[in-house]
Amino acid sequence: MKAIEIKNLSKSFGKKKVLNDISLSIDRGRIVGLLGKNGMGKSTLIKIINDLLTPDSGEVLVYGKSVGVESKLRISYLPERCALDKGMTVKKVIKFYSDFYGNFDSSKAMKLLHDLDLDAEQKISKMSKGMQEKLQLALVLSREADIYILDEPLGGVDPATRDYILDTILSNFKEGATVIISTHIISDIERILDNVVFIHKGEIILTSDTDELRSSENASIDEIFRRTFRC
Amino acid sequence: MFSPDNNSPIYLQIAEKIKSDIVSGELSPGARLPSVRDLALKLKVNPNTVQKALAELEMRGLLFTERTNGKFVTHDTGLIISIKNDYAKNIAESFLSSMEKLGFSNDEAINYLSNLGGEKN
Amino acid sequence: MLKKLLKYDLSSIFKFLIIFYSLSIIFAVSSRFFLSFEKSLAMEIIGRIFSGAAISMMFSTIINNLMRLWVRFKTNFYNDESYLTHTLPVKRTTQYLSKFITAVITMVVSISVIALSLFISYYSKENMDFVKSLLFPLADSINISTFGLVFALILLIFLEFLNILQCGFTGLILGHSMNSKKMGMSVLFGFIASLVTQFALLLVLFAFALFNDNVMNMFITNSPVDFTTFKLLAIIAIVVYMIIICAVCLFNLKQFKRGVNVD
Repeated sequence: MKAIEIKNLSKSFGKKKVLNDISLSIDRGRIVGLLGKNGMGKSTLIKIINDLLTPDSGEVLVYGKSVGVESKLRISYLPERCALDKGMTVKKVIKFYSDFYGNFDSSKAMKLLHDLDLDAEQKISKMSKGMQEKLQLALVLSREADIYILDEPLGGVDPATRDYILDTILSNFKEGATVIISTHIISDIERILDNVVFIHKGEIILTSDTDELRSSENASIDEIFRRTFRC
Repeated sequence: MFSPDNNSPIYLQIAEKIKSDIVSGELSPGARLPSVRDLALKLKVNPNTVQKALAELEMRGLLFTERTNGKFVTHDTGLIISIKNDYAKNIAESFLSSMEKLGFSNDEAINYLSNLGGEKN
Repeated sequence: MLKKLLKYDLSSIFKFLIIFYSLSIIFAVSSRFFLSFEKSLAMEIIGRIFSGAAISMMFSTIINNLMRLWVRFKTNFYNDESYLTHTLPVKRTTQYLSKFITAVITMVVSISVIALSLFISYYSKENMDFVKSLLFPLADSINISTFGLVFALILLIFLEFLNILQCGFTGLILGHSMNSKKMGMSVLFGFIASLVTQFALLLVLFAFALFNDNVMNMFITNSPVDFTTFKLLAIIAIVVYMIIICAVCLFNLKQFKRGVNVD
């Protein structure tokens, strides 16, 4: 069974077609890069998988089942914005996560917070944007999930921290899990990808094994991406 | 420290690196390799990529798996020596062809090399 | 899961309302205290000020209760926090029910606090007798206790507020299914929902009037209220309100289950 299977998915906002009849399947245990420029449909696709948007047509299956309570337990999702209750302290948020997610590991979360230099007593509203992002990443990685979906995990992070964040992701996701990373910053991330999916103007224009693509095009994914989307 | 670049298949670069470590003796026959996850972390790549590189080496007989203990370098020193010879042959051939472009005949090139060796000693 | 959701919903609303609760009780106690000094004009003035403050705090309590429930509904389900809310492994219906039950519980508590504040401020034998004398003829003629009558009236007010509140939820759900002007449309749909429910209530009462001349008389003439009819109307209104609230709840659940589209 595939980790995620997307069949003929379409979504419009008003007259604007954001996803146009997309089909895609993602194998279990792979690290997949969802690559595309901003505003090309990456986030829309991810939001539909996470039940934050309702598709106009088509369907999404997670481990063979439609999106719902079960898929939400399987997927650990890092949104591109801070979704935490800003009035809570870090400690309270950890309690919240362990209340709702059976697969949340509080002690791992505390350890990650320590590694990331975050203070458990601090209020979220008092944290900088970068700290909030790190906190969310720690929470997402502290879940023993089957699928991790990370929407632009490097978006607001300065280049010096990118490697550190990537290492944290690599060393902390559950072994054997599927990881989907959406990004438009490719050079830093491509070394960890098994597969790439190029998404452009609401359509999937390329899916490939990363190393096969490198050897057939004789170039880095970053370069292939730039060539494909030269503007 | 070794770090793969993004321009060619990463698993091949990793396989090549481990192969040259075995040939140079940095990884001795029978030595145990770090776990896939550890290697992945050290190289900052995805565990699946390391897995693929190791599978490649295993296919060529340079590594073997002990079910519970992990992966080990082959005890077959004959194989290691033959690969070492392949490397040496490649280097020698490319030296000779480069010298040829400069106008050296094979004998002159070999002479030059042994003189250079003499100077060094 | 409902229990856990309720824990967070209730604590969030009560954490906010506790200020209003304490202030209205403090003002009530103060007004009582200062008004207890007889023959002191200064004390009486201070007492009257506190009494006014207590009354306005009681109004603020109920208004802020409503507002806070709507704000939480919106932030939890449609703002940034929705990215977490909707990805919790919890059914949408459970999510909605938690908000609804939180509304019921907090409003019951708010109304109780208001009643308590009124009692603290104004309880005295004379005042009680006055209220009784005001309500007794009514209560007596419809054959229930004064307490029962007060309870029925409070229940009606409570149901009225609960209905308005839930119509607000309807507005937010429908407004956020639009592609633009979500907030404006929410307010509009909220108004429409509350008008529709009020109209439905009137319609039922009027339908009832067709079969009951006494009720019809109330609609078409200015004759003074006949108490038996009044009792009947109150009971019908309570029952109809309850049905309407359940119907709106089901409507909201159905809309909400269809899925959301957050920004």
